[in-house]
Amino acid sequence: MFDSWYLLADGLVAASQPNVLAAIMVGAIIGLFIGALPGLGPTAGVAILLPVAVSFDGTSAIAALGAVYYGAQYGGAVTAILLGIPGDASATMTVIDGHKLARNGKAGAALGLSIAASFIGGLIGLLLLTAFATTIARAAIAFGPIEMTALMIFSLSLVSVLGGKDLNKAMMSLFLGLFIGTIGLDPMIGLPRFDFGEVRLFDGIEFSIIAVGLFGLAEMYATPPSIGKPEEASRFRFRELFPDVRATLQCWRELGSGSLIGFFIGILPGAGATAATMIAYAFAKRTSKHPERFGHGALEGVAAPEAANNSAAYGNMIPMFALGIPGSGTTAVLMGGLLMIGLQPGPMLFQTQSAFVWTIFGSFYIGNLALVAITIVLTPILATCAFVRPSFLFPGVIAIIAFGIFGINNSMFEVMLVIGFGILGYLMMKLDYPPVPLVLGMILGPILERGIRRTLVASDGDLSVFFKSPIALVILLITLVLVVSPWLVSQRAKRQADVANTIAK
Amino acid sequence: MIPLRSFDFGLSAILALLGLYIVSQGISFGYQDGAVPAAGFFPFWIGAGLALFSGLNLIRLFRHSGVLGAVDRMEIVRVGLVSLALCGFVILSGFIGMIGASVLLMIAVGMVFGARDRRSILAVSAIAVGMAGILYLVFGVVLTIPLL
Repeated sequence: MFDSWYLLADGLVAASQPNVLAAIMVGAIIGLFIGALPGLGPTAGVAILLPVAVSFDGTSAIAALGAVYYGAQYGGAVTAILLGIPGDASATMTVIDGHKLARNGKAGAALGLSIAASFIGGLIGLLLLTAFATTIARAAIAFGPIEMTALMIFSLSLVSVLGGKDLNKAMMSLFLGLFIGTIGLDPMIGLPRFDFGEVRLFDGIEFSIIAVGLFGLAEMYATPPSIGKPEEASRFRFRELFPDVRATLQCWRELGSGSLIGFFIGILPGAGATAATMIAYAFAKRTSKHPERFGHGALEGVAAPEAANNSAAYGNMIPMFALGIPGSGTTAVLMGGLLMIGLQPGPMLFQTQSAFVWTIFGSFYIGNLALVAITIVLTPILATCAFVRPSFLFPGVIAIIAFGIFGINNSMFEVMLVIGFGILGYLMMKLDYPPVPLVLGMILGPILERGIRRTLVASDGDLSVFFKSPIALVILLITLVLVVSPWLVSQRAKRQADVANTIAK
Repeated sequence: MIPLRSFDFGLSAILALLGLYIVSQGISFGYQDGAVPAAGFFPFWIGAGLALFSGLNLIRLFRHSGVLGAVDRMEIVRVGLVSLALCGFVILSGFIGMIGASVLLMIAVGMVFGARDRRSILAVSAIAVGMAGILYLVFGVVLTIPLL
């Protein structure tokens, strides 16, 4: 346990190198703007920057992408408070009391508190990430190929929670992702599969093409041109933006509970930062001595969700780094980034690439601290971001996408592919097909195929090996519960609705 | 307005056919090699799953109508025009280079997203030229990517 803190100290030193520091700062600033801009969320932001970031060295690339992620959590609060427009979904709960405070002339106090809450939530999330990541990874080291294969099956079953309200469409999305993962040379014998006579498909389809198409281009396609029309913003003084120690101390309970709720909800695959903010807000209101103030401009109503969404961002990284399971869209894209630079997230990453992992964790601490100053300085500019019209914003973003995708293999073929995946992503968005299962299938499918085939080659085709390992058996049983429970819940709800209808008649 | 149901029909039908194609290809790659799975084992089950769930979605669409609402025709036109502008960028890059083509791409995208009056077009053009310079510096100079 204590090793983690020594390793973190080394990581902080390594993350202080000029190239990593520059990557953190650039990522944090871009993340702040992405969080504040309506129409682009953290997943789209990380996806769009993925092909550009991987052009840099591995550590800087992941430090920058991580900074975009947690920077977006800071940025979302600015437009939520000043304009009542959440920059991303996880800032929705901040609108309720934050915008009321702004309209009551306390915009500076609300922004200052949101910055303090983001920092404290982020710091608590980071401390817990540092404490738990290695422990979980060490426990998972005991996993052999059979257990890892069971874990991959469990990860794919997450479509039942990550897949939204329509399980059938989530499964279609998952199988499409699994198919995309099979394109290219067979991992065992090198036979070309689904290459359609195109040599450029022998290596498969680059992950960033899928991520940029599904999350970046599709998001822009679906954004109406009318977004960003000027309205009146709440006024504030620059001086007021500095976190008020008294107001922060006054909300210590909400900051603590919000951070803990955010982190542990964030660990759960599929729950995400938005759910964490809702639970943290509800908990803060329920335990408050003055619950009547919530919804009418309570400082506690800003502190709890802001601490929760920043803490959740780090909780979300535990399953990705320690087990190789992406629990949300953004961590799936981040995991794709790790794979693109040649690293396989999971327990072995802490053994084989320990310096890399701790440098990245160190960069998170530095980024979290730097964001306090950067957010204060940039808030006046961020406040104007919500007014940027798509006609001025999207041309540049689309050009970055085109150049970034071209830069991966210096090929326009990839740009054509991204156009296709953009249209597919748009259709999926409109028709309620969740894109995250597709990404999960594409990332985890090849790992699962290798695991199943290697295990069966070793056992001479005996499937019962999966049930002879106690760990694999437990994981498979949890998977079964995860898959069956949504169906049971829906059946129960249907029965209750039928009973209610019968009584009503 | 265009009903989204027709799009869902189309997408489900294409995915169901794709699933069947994957199954047939999986069989042709070889399902089993002795007692162990061969190159077609995984694709076979993926194709079967895709065809099954797409088929279920098709049946559901036949049985229930009007569950998805509609989409504005202009939105579809916008998606088509932006995609066409990107295709134009790919083709033009071979003739006038990526930097020149990106300026035209950005102006076209700006116009599709609402910059139609003279002032807005001038503003988008200025942004496009500035952005093209930044792209050249970042990708061409800093990252040393051989741009077309």
